[in-house]
Amino acid sequence: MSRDVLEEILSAALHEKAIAPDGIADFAAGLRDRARLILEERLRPLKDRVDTLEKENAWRASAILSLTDENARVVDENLRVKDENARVQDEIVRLKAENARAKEAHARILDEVRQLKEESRAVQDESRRLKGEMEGLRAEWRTASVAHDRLLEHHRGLMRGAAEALAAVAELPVWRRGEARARLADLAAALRRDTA
Amino acid sequence: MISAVVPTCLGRARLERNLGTVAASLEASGEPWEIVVVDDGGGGLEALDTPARVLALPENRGYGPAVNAGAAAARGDYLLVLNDDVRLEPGTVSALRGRFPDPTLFAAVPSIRSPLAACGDEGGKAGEFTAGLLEIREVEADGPRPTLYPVGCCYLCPRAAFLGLDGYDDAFAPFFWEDVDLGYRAWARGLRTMHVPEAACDHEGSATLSESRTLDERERISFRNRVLFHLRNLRDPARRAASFGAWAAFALFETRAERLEGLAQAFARDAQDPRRRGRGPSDAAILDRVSPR
Repeated sequence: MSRDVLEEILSAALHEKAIAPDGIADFAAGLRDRARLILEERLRPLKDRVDTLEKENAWRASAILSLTDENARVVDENLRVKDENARVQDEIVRLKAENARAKEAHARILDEVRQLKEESRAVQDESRRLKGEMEGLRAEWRTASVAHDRLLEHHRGLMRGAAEALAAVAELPVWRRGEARARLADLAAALRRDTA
Repeated sequence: MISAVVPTCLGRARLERNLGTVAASLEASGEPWEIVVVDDGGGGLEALDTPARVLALPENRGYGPAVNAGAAAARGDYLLVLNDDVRLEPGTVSALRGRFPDPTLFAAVPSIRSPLAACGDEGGKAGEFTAGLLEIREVEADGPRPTLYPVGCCYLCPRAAFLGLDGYDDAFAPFFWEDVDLGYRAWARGLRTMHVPEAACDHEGSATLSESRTLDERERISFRNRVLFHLRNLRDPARRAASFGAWAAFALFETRAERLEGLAQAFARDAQDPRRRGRGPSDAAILDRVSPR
């Protein structure tokens, strides 16, 4: 279509002598100046795009610089963290060793505790056994003491009886010496029985 | 009498939003008035809230033909040409009407507050030739000053002057550049257009176009009419030669299909209906009059 239009335009321009010697300079100026505007208009989106890309590029360059700085800072930080990590690793080794020692100590203490518990149980058993024995002895002692008290009471009663019998014999008149002798013989027999 | 001519296509909601302000501003001018709503093939304009005469066109032909039809049917001595998405202030019509009668004045344009305007005001325009073609730019003004053309969304002009210029050129239909063409033809006949910032209006902004046309279609039509404007208006041989060079540059280097299509359509359309360029001030003289000093 544009070729036909151009022919029509040139035909009209020729008809009006616009491309004759008198008008050719104005025709050329109009063609040249308008062509420049049209091409500028066509190029404007591209130029705008280029401007945008240049701005983006500048922004990217700035961002790269910023990221480079950030990277250097991160590398420094990484080194520092590595040092810190190594220090922490050493500390971990030290703590592991200390932990192992603590575990050994703990195991040892546990053994000791176990041993002490066993000893404690043995002592408690011995204590219980001794308490049992002591209770037995106390019971025996209480039994012996009661028997002794009963025997002492018996002897005291026997002595009181003997004293009363002797006093009664002493009260007997002389003529009743035989009776006195018999009573003394019975008393002696009785004392013999209780002292046998 | 002032006839407000409001072309629209399926613009009932916009008319009901804005037409009341037009009626109020016309009423405040103290002159008899009428509103001619030109239904450009859309329909649905029965029983509008604001009193208006509806001129129904059988088919949609675009802004210029619709305004031309409205101007032909109008009864007023003055035409207030408006888009359907424009709101007027109470004093807008009076301030514009105050510039007339003036036999050297074609049209008075208010300050047009618009989101489409880089400087906030679509009303003031200047032009300069750059690389073979007319480039139009906005001009801020704090007082009345010449402007290149009456921006189609709002201006006041004598009906006789509008009809004397044969109104809008149907070759630019459906839209774009017809108002530049009209204003340029007026300047070429020695009729000025003035930007009058003490009059003001608000423009919602190409509401009709944005609803019904694709961007590619708008670009094609806009470029076609830009070419057509140069083919039909430039009168200085050197500027015409430079413009042919510029179009050749587009043919060689432009890549957008819609522009190349518009370029071809413009040459074809102009060849079918060439316009005679009469005597009058040179292109340089016209642009010199509307350029800020």
